[in-house]
Amino acid sequence: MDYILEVNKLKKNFKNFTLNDISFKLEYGYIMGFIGPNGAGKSTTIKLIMNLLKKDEGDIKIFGMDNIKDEKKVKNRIGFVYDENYYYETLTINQMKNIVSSFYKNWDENQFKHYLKEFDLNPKSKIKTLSKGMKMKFSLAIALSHNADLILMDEPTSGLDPVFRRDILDILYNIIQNEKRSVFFSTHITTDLEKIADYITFINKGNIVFSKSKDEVMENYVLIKGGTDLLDKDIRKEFIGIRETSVGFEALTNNVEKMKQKFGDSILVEKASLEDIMVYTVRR
Amino acid sequence: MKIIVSNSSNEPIYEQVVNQIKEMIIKGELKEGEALPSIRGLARDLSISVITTKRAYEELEKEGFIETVQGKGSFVALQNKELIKEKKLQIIEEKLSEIVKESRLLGISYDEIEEMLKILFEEE
Amino acid sequence: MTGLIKKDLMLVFSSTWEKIFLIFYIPLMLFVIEASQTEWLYFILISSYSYLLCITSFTYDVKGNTDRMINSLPVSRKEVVLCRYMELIIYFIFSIIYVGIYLWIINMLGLYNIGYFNISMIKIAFPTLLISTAVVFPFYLKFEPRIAQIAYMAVYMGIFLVASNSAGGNGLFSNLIVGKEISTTVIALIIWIISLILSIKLYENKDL
Repeated sequence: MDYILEVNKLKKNFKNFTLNDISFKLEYGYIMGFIGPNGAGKSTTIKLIMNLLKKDEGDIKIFGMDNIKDEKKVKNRIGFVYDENYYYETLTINQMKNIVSSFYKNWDENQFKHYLKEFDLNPKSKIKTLSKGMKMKFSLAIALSHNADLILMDEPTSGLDPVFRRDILDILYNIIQNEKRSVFFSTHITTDLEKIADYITFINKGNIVFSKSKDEVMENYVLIKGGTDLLDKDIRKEFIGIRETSVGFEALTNNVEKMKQKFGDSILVEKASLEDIMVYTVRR
Repeated sequence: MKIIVSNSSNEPIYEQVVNQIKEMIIKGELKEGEALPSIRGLARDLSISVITTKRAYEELEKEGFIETVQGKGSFVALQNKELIKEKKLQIIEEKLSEIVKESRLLGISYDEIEEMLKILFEEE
Repeated sequence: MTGLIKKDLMLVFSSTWEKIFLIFYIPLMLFVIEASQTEWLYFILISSYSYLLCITSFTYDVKGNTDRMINSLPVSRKEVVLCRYMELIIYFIFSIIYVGIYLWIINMLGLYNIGYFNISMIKIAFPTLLISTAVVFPFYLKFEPRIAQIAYMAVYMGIFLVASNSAGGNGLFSNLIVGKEISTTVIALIIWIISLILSIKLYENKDL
């Protein structure tokens, strides 16, 4: 099986934080969402993939090649968008574009012009006059204009209004029409992923909680709601996370059958959203 | 061709797609040999993931409703006429079972039902 | 590689600060420094000016956080460092031409009498520039900009020290350098190459 991105037992130590045994794989033609609370290690993982940080252990393969040994070849085919996009403030969009485009073998000027128009960006405006959202759009325009096979994004939609976020989803859907391209993006905004993502990798406190197909995740995790009289110490432990109030409890489980057997009709079983899954797992 | 997917339904999305395409084939709305939308195009149109549409198509192929040709796409398979008839009867039977159940609950007799059916069929 | 060099040149020469600097640096130096031997004043002008260009160019990515963006492009860390070192030649030549023209104009206008092109000073300025940048560049790669800036300024003042010490005629530096330009340049090149290797190692292992 060919994978477009393979991360294997990645480790990185910092003073106050460790990224531990991170492993996951993404095939060609699919979208993987990378979720986790702030500080979980999402940006760190992405920086390690781009070799901006030096890994302590493990290996990363992109397009089947080592991300360090074949760094230039690999980066030629990656379009990146970070949550903070820094450019040379004194230059204009056009000047900045000219610098960046000269590095890519497959730069497509028409594509870039098309995106500038779509995103309503003026090529003559200076970088320092751009808002955070506009800088992000500029990043995206560049990332999409050199025929990249892997689009790698770190929180691309934070700071953007819901309308533009939807536009980005449309763009991603179009990218994925080509089954040789993939998208990997980290986000807090799980509702975006619930629609489009094929796979979800969930990271918390530097460890991978799971990396599975979204359908599998959504089908296996449910919310159980019922009266607090149904609970006791043992039952509480069986849930992944639980929230009790004076009028009942709400809990997350990935073992529906067992719960249904135990409680039968006295509980309400509901679909859990990705946000529910994330919150309850983290709050544990 | 019409496929409508509900996010709030308890039925998994891939199942909804499978059932709707099945129904269209059984009812003859989708003819034999007709091309289905591509897996990726359908995912985009329905705003769902590619894996979901892939799963739906795989399921339909397993049950013999469609055929996927590498590089060309998916098409409605040559349908076994007997099987189709059987499935059509199945649909009606399910609906009739419900009617029988309700009638019993409400205390309506078989004769009254027969009368109603006669009138309804004549109306069409 | 040429992309990186073009980018650095564009940045150094396009900022407004740079343009102001371009116009006022030389007259400022002429005004501030009292020189009986104008050839050493010429030395200061071409050495310090090219030095400032080199350091400004180098720190562009260090201070603005753009290093993450640059290193996400298809470039290797080695190339990024190598370019910075190679650009030195460009800045040096530019310096000579620029200072030459400026001083020629000043001479024409009768404002100051100073040789606008002095080969022997150029032969001394070149190794000076090589050693200055060789010393300062690794500081920026290893330490925080604030600390590296101390090295930057110390070396800058060092250039003036070398000049003033040598202008006397019998200073420590002039004895070392004058007349021995070739061997000084060779030693300077060796130091420069060692610095390049060190910088590449430092940058390849740096977390951005």
